[in-house]
Amino acid sequence: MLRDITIGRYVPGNSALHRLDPRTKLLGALVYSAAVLSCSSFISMSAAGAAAAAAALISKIPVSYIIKGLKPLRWFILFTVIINLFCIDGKILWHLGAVHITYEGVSAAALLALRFIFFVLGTSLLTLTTPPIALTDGLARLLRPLKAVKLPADDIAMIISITLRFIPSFADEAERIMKAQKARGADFGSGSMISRVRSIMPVTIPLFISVFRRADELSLAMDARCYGKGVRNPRKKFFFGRTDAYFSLIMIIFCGFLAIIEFFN
Amino acid sequence: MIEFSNASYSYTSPLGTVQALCGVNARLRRGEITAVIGHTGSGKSTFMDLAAGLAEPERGSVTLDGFDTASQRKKIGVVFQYPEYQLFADTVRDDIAFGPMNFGIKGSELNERIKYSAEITGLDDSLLSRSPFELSGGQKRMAAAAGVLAMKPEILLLDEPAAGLDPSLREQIFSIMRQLLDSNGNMIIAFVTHSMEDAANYADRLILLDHGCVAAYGTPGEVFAKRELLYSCGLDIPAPLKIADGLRSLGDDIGGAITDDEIFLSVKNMLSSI
Ligand SMILES: Nc1ncnc2c1ncn2[C@@H]1O[C@H](COP(=O)(O)OP(=O)(O)OP(=O)(O)O)[C@@H](O)[C@H]1O
Ligand SMILES: [Mg+2]
Repeated sequence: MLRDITIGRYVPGNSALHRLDPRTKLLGALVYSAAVLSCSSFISMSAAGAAAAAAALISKIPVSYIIKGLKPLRWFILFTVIINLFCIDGKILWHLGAVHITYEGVSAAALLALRFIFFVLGTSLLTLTTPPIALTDGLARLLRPLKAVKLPADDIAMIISITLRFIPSFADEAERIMKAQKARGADFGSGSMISRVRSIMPVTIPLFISVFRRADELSLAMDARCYGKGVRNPRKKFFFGRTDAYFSLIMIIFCGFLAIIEFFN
Repeated sequence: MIEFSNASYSYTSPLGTVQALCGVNARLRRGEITAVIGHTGSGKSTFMDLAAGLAEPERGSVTLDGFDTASQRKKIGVVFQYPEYQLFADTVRDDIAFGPMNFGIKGSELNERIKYSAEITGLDDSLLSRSPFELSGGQKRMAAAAGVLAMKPEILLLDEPAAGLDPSLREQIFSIMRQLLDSNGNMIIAFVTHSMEDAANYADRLILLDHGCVAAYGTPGEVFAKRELLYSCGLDIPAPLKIADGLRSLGDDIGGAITDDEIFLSVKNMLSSI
């Protein structure tokens, strides 16, 4: 179900991951994503998986909840896996006429799926353990050097965190509208491609209207609170503490470890 | 009759599971308007979802004439909270036609249905050919309700149908319910409300929910007589009953008036007997 999407959701808590400085977490998620995207073997990928699992356990957020967050992505993952499976040449494992699956295709598809899953897990854990405001402030602080080249760092930070924050809201909204149209006899998952595309119109149109309405309301609310009329100071002073130091150290060791694995491969 | 027997339902959230309904036993009878009341988060909307067959109970059962409501969805019309957000078509007419068309109704029968539901909700012809997004909030609500009524449901469930409407539209919504019931005594109608006055004035029977359990079930007179229970559930008693209680504490016992009409009559009698 759409409602299960975890990217952009925040779950209050008091775990070590929650207590980290948002900047540390942002950089950590960035480094982790880069690492996952550059993993090219199953050994390094399993190390990345172990790291994600450890972080998930530390966060004290129910593992079932985090895993459920991947469910809405299953069709997308399946699609990319299938494309890879049939389109890469190499040692043939199985073939039927012109269609063939190669050894290289299987491993590339599996790596791609894992890369994608871990990437989503990493970003989910970032938003799951960081309140939206802290995320904005942390981003703004990290992007501050951009001000030197006259880029609106604070606004960019605000845009990114609002986008993240609204992903789950719109997933909820879509599900609510789908339920209402189902009650009016709408049928979503069946029929030909054309009738399926047509059947999502009763959902997409109200959803778009709701998106614009929300955007309107939000901009009014921000205006009313003088957004952009002065300097925004973070609500909490940032504090790079011992946990942050440990976390950074672990990240560095993790990256070094991955680099060594990749090097010897 | 829709019968809940020992029905439970829970949601999974990251902070654990939320028990929205726990072992609910209740009935929605034919020929009656039932109001579901309870504090915020008491499970009213979940109750309606189960009654409508849009969700299935984890334990126990919810049946319509002995069959699971999930298999009877065609007979059940639901007006959700803020239904205006489900409008999507180019014209109000097309939007009203969406439901019946999904059930394979076309041609003159379809036009008949549109005319019927527009009439009953008071949408005039000029409105029907306009875009639903150009209507006022109240008109949108009526258009959305018309879209449900056009399916001629045997069972009509409404989640806070009058929230945010002006007094005359509120009145109209509830008189539509009564009118439907008068023309077809076989219907089951239920609505959720936060207004004790609406529950007292317009319902034949009340279901009081508290933390996912049925705390009281009965006629408005029976339920509102349990003042302490209502207070402990975070609710209030209807204004007429407060007036009657106030008069009693001053030594004028006028009985337990609950609806606007009853308090009017009682006070009138009291004044004429002075
Ligand atoms: N999608 C959901 N995920 C998690 N918990 C939910 C969800 N929907 C409802 N709940 C929880 O289930 C309980 C019952 O919710 P429900 O919506 O039925 O209450 P309600 O009586 O309709 O409240 P209201 O008067 O505010 O509309 C609440 O505690 C609510 O927090
Ligand atoms: Mg509700």
